[in-house]
Amino acid sequence: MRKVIVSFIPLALLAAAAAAQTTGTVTVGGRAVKDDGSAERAAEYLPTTSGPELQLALEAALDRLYLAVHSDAREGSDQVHHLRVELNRLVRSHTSFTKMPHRLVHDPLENLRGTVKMPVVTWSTDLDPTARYRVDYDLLEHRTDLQLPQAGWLTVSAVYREQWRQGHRQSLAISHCSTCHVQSQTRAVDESTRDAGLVAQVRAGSWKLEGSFVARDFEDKAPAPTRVYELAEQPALRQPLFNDRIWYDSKNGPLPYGIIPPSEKNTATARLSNPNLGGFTVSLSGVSTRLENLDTGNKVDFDAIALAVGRRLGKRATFALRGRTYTIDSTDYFVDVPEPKAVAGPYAGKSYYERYGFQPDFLRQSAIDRDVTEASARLSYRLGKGSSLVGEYTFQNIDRAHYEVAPGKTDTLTQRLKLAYSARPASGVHLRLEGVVADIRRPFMTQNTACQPGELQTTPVPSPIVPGSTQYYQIYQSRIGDMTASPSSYVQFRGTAALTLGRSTNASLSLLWWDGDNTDQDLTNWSRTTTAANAQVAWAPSESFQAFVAASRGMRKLESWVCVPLMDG
Amino acid sequence: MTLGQFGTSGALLTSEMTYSTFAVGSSVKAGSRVTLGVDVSYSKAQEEADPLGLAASPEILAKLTGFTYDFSTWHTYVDLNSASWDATARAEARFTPTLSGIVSYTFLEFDDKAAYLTDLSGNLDIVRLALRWAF
Repeated sequence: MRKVIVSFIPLALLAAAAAAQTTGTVTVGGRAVKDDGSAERAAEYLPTTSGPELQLALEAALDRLYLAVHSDAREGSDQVHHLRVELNRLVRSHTSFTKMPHRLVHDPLENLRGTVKMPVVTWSTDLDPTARYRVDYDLLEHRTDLQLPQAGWLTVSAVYREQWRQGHRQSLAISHCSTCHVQSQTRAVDESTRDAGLVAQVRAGSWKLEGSFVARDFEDKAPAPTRVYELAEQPALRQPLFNDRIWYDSKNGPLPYGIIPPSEKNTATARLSNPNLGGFTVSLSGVSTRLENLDTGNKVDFDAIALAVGRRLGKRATFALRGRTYTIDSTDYFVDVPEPKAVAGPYAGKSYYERYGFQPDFLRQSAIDRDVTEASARLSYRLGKGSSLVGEYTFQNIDRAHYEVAPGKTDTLTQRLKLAYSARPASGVHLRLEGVVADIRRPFMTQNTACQPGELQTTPVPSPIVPGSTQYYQIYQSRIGDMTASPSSYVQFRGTAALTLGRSTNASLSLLWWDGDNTDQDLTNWSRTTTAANAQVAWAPSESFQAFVAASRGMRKLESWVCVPLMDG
Repeated sequence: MTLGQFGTSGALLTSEMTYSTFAVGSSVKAGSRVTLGVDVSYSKAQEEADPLGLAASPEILAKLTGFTYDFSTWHTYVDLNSASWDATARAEARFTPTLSGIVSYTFLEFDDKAAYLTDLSGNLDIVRLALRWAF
């Protein structure tokens, strides 16, 4: 940051001394801050320390050079800087730097300290109970456009963006039996995300071709936190009876968790457009990206192509068609689970698979892998002065490669119809009404992931490892309820009114109502209703006085299904 | 000892979230040298769930000795209720055509009325003084 300020000041002074026309302001001051209680919400993105503040705004115009600097630096990692340079209309450059803190909540985990039944407990340990967490966010963005007079049809740009996140946050590690023992400790954050690329734009007649290539590197230099896990033993008997189902324990020493791997992402785009091709507007574009985990070599590919066509129909109507198709394809990953053998009990010498027939190995295939096709058709018709009618039909078909959203079905079809009416019923009054109806066949949901009405074990047995004791995988496999947070249909109404009252007063009012539900699931239902209203009045009777008042009110009702197991084992 | 597995108990969870915001602001030139301004915003958010109708039959509870399936206060765990203020009053006085002074006071407050994980209530008072030179 110091480098940025140090570079801005000589530039500003140089320009101020040499420029024929230089204007600007310098503001020097300071602030005193008194805080009380927690700052995590009251000042989530603000510094809470007293100190100096410096602002600089400068514009200098020379014969061949234009320079603009806006700099706002405050004590406590709160800074915004902009530098704009134009050289003889050949080079246009814009650089900005932003720095701000982000305070993070520290969960004391007190809600995870309830004993269920001795010796089985739910407990938590916070290794840094007094820590206050914060990550400083820095962002540097730069773009330089080069356009030579000898080749006015060509513009070449260099783009650079780097983001840093440095600080500390809370990290949690759970024990073998899910949340029996949650351990919290401080985790360092030292992330950098760097984008560098080139953009080119070529014009030939009414045609325009744009292309870009951007390479991204991501790295978190901070080490992953570690935890020594509990000894693998039956908690009541204190015997090594669970060795056939636990991969690691305290004998393995500290083990890392929450590892954030370095990654690379390359993005290439191309767009060909013409605003008047035989009376049509045409735009054809494509995007291709590859994201790679540099630790494992796993990749995610995204490829898309889109076409947009528009045309005026007579003097009153316009018609637009848009279509896009894209695919997401990621690397399959075989997870070969270590299968230790039991060292005690009636099945000593056997692995969990040898004992129960449950195969823990699996091929990890991403639910995000998919082929998507989406299109829309939009007709706009001008009814009269200030009034128009718009109709739009949109569909989207998502066909997932591996993930089923209904028995034997991997696809979701969304169809949406929108009608909008705009009018000016009186001078200074503008109304807009809009209605949307949508139908979603086989919306995203998880099948058989909740609720199991039947009983699996009705009589007690002496131990979870003896015959007759229900295993977790049997409980999971017997679930029949589906869960979702996506609607199978919804309707939406939106109304807005804008009023101009005389020369000095403007007012606006907007209302929104959304209602959707999902009744396609087995055993469970989901629904949500949202209403919102906004109103604003602005009054500026003279150059020396202005005022505004605004208010909003919203409500959301949500219904979802909850299931809890009735079990001990 | 494992006492058994008796399926699950299910119920419909209903919750309601409401929010309100109000903002007012004004700026006035008091004479040829002084500009005064004030901006105030207040927001309030609340979320409440209805009592959850989860239950287990007495026969099952008799077998799950040592367990309590009492969800009578469960819906209170997800209660959220907060209010926040953001208010600033400022004045700028022009001493000469190129030199002016600025003073402002800002009050920020977040009132966590239903602390969930931890109480996030807090407030800040910020006073700013500055000199501005125009060229």
